[in-house]
Amino acid sequence: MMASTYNAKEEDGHHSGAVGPGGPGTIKTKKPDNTAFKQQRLPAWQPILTAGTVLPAFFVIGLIFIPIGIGLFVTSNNIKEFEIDYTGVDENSPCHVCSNNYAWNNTVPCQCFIPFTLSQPFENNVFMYYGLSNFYQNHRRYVKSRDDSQLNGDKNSLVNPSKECEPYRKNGGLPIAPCGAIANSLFNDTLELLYNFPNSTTIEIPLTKTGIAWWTDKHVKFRNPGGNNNNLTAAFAGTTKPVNWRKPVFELDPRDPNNNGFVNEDFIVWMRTAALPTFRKLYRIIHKNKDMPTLPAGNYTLAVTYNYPVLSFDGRKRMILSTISWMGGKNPFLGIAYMTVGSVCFFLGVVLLIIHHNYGSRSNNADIPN
Amino acid sequence: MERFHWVRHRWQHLVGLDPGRGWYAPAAPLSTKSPLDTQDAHRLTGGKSRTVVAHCGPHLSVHRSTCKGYHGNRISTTKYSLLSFIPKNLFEQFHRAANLYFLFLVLLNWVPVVEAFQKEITMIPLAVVLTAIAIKDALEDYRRYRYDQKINNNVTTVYCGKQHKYVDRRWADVCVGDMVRLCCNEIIPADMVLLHSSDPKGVCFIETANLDGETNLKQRQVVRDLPQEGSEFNAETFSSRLECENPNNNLRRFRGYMEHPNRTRVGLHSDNLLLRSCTVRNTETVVGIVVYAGHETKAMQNNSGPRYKRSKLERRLNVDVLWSVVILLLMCLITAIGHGLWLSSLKDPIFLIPGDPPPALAGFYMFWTMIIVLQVLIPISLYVSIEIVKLCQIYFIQNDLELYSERLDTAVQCRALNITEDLGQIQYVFSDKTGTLTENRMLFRRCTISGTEYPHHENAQSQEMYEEQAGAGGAEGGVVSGSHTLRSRSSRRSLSCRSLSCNRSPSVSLNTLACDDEDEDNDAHDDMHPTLGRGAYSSAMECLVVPDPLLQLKLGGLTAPLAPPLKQDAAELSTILDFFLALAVCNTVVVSSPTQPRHMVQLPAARTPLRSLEEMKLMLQKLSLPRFTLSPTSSSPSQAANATAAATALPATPPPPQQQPSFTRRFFARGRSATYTPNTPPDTRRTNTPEPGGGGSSTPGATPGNLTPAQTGTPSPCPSPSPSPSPSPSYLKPPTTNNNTALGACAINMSASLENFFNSDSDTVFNAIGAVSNDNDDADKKQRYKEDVEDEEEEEEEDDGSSDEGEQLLYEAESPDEAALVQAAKAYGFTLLGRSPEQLLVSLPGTGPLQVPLLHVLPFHSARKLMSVMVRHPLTGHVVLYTKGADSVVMDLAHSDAAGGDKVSHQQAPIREQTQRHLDQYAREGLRTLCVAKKVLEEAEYEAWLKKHVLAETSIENREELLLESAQRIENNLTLLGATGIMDRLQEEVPETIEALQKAGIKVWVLTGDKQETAVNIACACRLLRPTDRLLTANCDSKEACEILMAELTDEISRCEQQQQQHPTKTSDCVSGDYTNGVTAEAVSGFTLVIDGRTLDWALQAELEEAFLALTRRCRSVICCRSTPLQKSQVVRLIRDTLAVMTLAIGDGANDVSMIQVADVGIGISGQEGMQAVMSSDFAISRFKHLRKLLLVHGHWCYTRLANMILYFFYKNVMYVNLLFWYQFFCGFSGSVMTNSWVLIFFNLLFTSAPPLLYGILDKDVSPETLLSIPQIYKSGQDSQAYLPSTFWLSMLDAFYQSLVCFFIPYFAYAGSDISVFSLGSPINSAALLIILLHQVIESRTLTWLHGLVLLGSAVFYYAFGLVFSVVCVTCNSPTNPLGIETRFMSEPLYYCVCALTTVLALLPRMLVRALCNTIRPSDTVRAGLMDRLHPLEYNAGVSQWQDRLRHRSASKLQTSPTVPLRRPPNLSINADPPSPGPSLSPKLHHRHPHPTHDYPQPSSVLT
Repeated sequence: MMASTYNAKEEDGHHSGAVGPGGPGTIKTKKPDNTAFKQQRLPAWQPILTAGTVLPAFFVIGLIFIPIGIGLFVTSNNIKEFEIDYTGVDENSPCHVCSNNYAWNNTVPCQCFIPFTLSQPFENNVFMYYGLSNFYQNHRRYVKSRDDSQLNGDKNSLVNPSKECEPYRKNGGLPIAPCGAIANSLFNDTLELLYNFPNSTTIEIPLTKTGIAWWTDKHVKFRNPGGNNNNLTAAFAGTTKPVNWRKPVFELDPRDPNNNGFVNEDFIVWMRTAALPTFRKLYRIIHKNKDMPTLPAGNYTLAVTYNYPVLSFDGRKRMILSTISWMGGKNPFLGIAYMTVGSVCFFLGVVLLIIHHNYGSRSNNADIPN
Repeated sequence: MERFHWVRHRWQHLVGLDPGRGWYAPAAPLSTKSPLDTQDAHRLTGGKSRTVVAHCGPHLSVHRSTCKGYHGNRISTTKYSLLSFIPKNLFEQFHRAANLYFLFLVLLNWVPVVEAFQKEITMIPLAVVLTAIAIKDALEDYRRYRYDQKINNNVTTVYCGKQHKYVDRRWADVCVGDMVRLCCNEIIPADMVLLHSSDPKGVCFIETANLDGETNLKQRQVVRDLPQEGSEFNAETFSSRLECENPNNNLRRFRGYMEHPNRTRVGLHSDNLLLRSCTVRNTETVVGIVVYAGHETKAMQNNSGPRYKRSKLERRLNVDVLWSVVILLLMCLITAIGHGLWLSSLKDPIFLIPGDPPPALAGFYMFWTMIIVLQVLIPISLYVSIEIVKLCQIYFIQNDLELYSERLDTAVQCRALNITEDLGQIQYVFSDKTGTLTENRMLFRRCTISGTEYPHHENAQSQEMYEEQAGAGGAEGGVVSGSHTLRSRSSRRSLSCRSLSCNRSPSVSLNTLACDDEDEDNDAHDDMHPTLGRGAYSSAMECLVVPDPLLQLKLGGLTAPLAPPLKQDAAELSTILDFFLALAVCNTVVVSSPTQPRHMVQLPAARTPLRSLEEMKLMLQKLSLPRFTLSPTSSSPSQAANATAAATALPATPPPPQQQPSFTRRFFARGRSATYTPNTPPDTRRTNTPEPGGGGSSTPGATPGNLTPAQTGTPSPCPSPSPSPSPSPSYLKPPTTNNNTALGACAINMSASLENFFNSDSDTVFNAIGAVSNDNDDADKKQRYKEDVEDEEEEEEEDDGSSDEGEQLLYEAESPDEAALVQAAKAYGFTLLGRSPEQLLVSLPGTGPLQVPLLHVLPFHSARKLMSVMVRHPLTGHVVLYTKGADSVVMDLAHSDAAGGDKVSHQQAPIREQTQRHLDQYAREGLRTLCVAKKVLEEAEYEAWLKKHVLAETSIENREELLLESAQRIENNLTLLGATGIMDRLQEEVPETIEALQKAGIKVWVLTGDKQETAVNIACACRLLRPTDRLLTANCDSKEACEILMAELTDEISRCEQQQQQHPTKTSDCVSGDYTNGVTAEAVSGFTLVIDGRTLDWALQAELEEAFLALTRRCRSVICCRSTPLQKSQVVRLIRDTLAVMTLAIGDGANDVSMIQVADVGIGISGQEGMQAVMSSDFAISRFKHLRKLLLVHGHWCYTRLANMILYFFYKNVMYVNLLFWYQFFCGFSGSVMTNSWVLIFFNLLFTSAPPLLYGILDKDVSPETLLSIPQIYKSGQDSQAYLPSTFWLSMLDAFYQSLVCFFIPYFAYAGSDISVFSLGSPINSAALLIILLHQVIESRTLTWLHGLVLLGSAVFYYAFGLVFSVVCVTCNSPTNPLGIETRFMSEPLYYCVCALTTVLALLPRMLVRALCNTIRPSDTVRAGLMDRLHPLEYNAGVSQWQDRLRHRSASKLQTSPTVPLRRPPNLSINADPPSPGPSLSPKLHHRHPHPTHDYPQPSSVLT
């Protein structure tokens, strides 16, 4: 009886049913079941990495990565991007005066005009960003200093904002409408783009201020209190504006009720805190014209209403114009990285091939070195 | 029910985690004290005792007052109740350091200034862990509760005082003082004192299998002085009071007394106690009074949970956890300082919240914040994971078919739940010999009686025949398992066929030797009752002894009519008789019949075959008349005559030679005629039945003239055709020297003749009768006698229920030696037929059952090393003490005999010498020796001793000590009868196992209590000692000598090694062992040290420790013989502590318990010697051979799996946490995280927890076949190769690298863009998950569909969670919600580009390094793993190549050194023992292995 079972065991589990002839009739024993799982004989793939097995992978990776890298690189290179720093640190900078005369509560806006030239025309839609540097929007306390419920139109949160908003929770006994530090520090420069025709006429390039926020933010996450009624003033009654703001939240875009209050897209974009201290945020979109390039080559002027102070913490402000591709903005890094990694893989593949040639045959034959 | 209990035990062992101690708590220290440790027996419970009176009957009121405080019989093993569960469980859980850490983090998060996450989120890990453990605890508790209920609701019958009858009652309702009546096969509900048994002798039998696994029946006795009549016990009239000690856990001790109403006291001892959960067997009804109930019963008090040890890996792990803490603190410190600096460099930033503390303080707060943020770095979940993995590993070990023993129906038992991986790191194995290496199934092989050796060649031959085959098979198996797996696989069948065929050959099938599994199990099934085969020692027919022809001739030749009467020394004959009688009676063997194996063979009442008994007795009485008459009990009519005879024949006064024969002749003649009086009808004979041992049975009216002088003169009462005077002197001589021997001689003659009579064909028989009795040749007398004989035989047949008496009795002995001896005695016709506490039923050759009154049993005690029985000799009526025991002790006790009388000592001295010589020889042959001695007690002497003994027996305090003293008082002045040599077969596959262990780099030490020669021989047989090994012996008397010796031996070794190194081509007399495989020189040496207990004592002293260790480290193995249990544990402790190595102790008996407990891993063999070793062990296996797979396969697996899993855990945590750390550099060290905190917490807890678990449970780096065939792979575990500090730091480094890649690729890809905080986290997390999972794929050596499922499941789970979260959670996770992030990003191609690049780049180095390492310098495991993947044919070639390489290496070594194997260096052994075994040993071994070959000694050649 045992003999058969024992042999069954030896035969590597092909007799997994054979628990012995006495199996069914006898009383149950403590004999373990002869199943592949319990006897740890599950069929398995055993990946032992050797030069021989890894080698194809390296070649494959190399062969895949290099084209991707080239593709990314080319794509990135095709993206046109123009960036201009208007912080006004430099004394020659037109905004130098404004930057030094900063106060949050300036009643008279300080304006400065920065001329620049685009040597190449920008096709398709052009995205206009403002960029901030050394601005830690990702600071732990800063990131948390908001109340999503309030922003989602919750009445209770409107009048009683979350504690996370402290110390921008209430002002003078009244709840702050978009409470918290993020809202309080809303970017409030106004950027305008003027195209200077060679004949020295100047037209203002139309900038679209909607469609810059994520759809989910605009339609789901941010909602004005009291639904879609137009009477935002009433809805925000009993609240006060954030300390640094010049106007209350319901006056952010008085002309477009769909872009006013919490659903104001500039506000929404700002509220999506940037991951890194140097960041850009979408400011406007310049939709392409039918016939001519969106931004033809030529001279432009950036008109800045300089409100936002960054010099105190060594920050910088930039305006960026960029076209985008399927891979987003201009970033040559990824393409280069892909190409580098691909090449390295390919090279290593060759090295492994040599090694495999020298050693691999031995280990395959189990001819044990040593 | 029995099964039920067993299952429960197993269950408790498996899952009976004590939540208060276990889990990942480091708190609970290991309780090293075994509850069963007999050493602990003297823990007196002080003067405290409990009083018990009957619950019913006259003492009801007293009962209420006295028994109020005692526990009821309800048991409750649960820890919690419904109400108390949550608080109590939480309370217990917070006793654990890990949970406290969690709690600390949670509390820290409540401090506003350091708050990192939302408060709920930090609680999640804690909540998850607490809940998981609480659920586990609750389930366990519920199962316990259900079990308790089941037990409590069992029904038993209790006497009810009101209804005046026995009524059914639940176990739970039984209370102390209740009278419980139990029937056969019922389980005892509580500890009770036996008051009544249906057995007329007042005994009952219990089986303690539920308690300790021993299945032999144990006899319990009704309290003495209680009415023993068979009538119904009247519970109401029982008015005695019991005083007994307070409840304790000592199963073998019970003290107390019973006070009757008349103030007389009777001592109670463990023989009176019926233990809870034992089973009543073989007794119709018993009544007992409950003394301990419920949790106070001994069974419950012995219910210790599983053991907790800290494994080596875990110790290592804790170090690395500390390192993690250091890294954590470092990271936090960097962040804190960075934050401070960053903050101080800022002027009025608008993104800062006003009211922040100054930079220094902010930095300080940041430190704590970061501790919360980076908490994952401390792998808390690792502890839980390890527990789970170990449980699963245990599950797999327990389910291994190859570790399952069909015969015992046990798989391996894992009692310790958390040291599975230690099995893979063992460096030293300390093994017991008997029962561990050997079967502990004894075969009687040889004996020496009064100085004459009876080699039992037939016996040996029949075994040899078997062993030849077995040996051949074994050798082949050895080669096979050693090198050629192909052959192994193919030859299995043929091997089994062969063994089957050898089973069919009758002479061989009797002796199973370990050759093969099939064999073993076949035999097991043939031999044993299929359902009851477990554990019981039933010496079945395999123990059959073929009598030695010479000895048989001596017994039988005297009576054989045709054989010439040998000139026999009557003294010798009497000794032979005594010898075998001693073998038959001097034991505690219980006889049962195979048809009812658990039922005693009842003593046939009044079945005594009167004729033969009377006949024999009379004969012997006559012969030993002088002594016999001294007996005061003899009140026979012939007393006066006897007395006169006695007066003349006192030993001191040599009797007149002329007188003696006449006496003898007369009585002999009378005896004969009385016995054989043909006219006496059976009835009359029966009425005449004398009391056995009673002296006055000689029937008057015998005719002396009926006998010819020849019958009296010749030692043989039978058939010398012509009366020859020559034998007369030889017969007449004995009385002058030793009356006893004379008596014995005659008895032998007589019995031999009778045996002959029964055995030979009837014609001869009648011739014999005619000759013996010299009766009238009356045909009808003959006929009648023949009929009588036939009647007798028929009666015997009826007794036994089948035709063959010999094969029917099953002997169940507590020690297998006893059974073997009883079997041996049986082979010579001295059959033990039954046993009761009062008497033994023995049939001597030619007699029927003979009642031997059993006066006392002085049980074996390790201090005395003896056991004795005191019986009234069935034939002479003398009080005789038969003793058997260790040769050294018996020899000493017999030695002191010299004082008794010059002549006696004169005669004894050569016998002793001879016997000693034979004993030495036996020991060299690997036989276990026992000496048998006897002592005839004067009645007065006996009476005097008896008085004191009874006092000792009845004493309540110090009973054991008094009994020991009492036994020692009587066991002296012994007369040496002879000695036996018992072979203890090696267990199957022991040599292969030991060889494999040694190849695996494990040093195997054998610690045994046996003699040196026996130990060396067994060591040879099991290939611990190879033919090429050099044997070093250390026996010394003094410490100084020991010191010198050690130094010399060490020098010797180094000299040899040097020699070998310097002149490898020259002749060297030192042979190094083979199988070097590049290990250190210490392991190479082929030296084996044999050290005896006395020397070991010196060596273990502090001053010599170092020398001893230095010596032993250079020896490949060490054999410690004559070692005590204490020494065993000392040795293990010394090695474990001083060398800091992993030790494993394996043993099967109580003497191994201390060793098992001391060792890192204790393994018990559930064998013949009860369950004490098992109870104290970490793992219990049933055969030694299982050790091989347990260590080499499971140990290796468990270790590698766990080590890899732990490394992986560390890697995983560091890798993930570092992502957060790198981010700090870009968020002003503000403790911000780029991941949603839910994902952050769940990442470790849910998304990446299952794959490593599966990895730890199922990963299989090398196949079991390869692990077994190439044991060298095991070394990787010994050297902790899988988990070295360097591997830890390397994987840390890799983790750092990977996290760098994983963070900075996305960083650079998104730098400067409008990416938001959580959006950056999305690709990083995703890439991290892929990296972590794929990293595991790279590390895994086995990927099954389960792995695939879990890996895929983890990834899918993560993405599903992320997606759902980003879709659903609008305001759920205030203040920051990840709404829309995942959906948006996962629709972008850039996301995938980033993830792909990150993953590939992160894994590239590891993949490359692995591939390069595995190709250029593969480790053993990798090579083996690669081999596993080969085609079977190539695989076999690979395995043999592997082995060949090793073999070749050693062979080349051997070629250079023609060996002088095992040459004992003459100057090195300072042998203190006068009978030096050395000189004789060496040539023998030398002769056996004249050439340095690789053929190991066949077991047969050693053992025969």
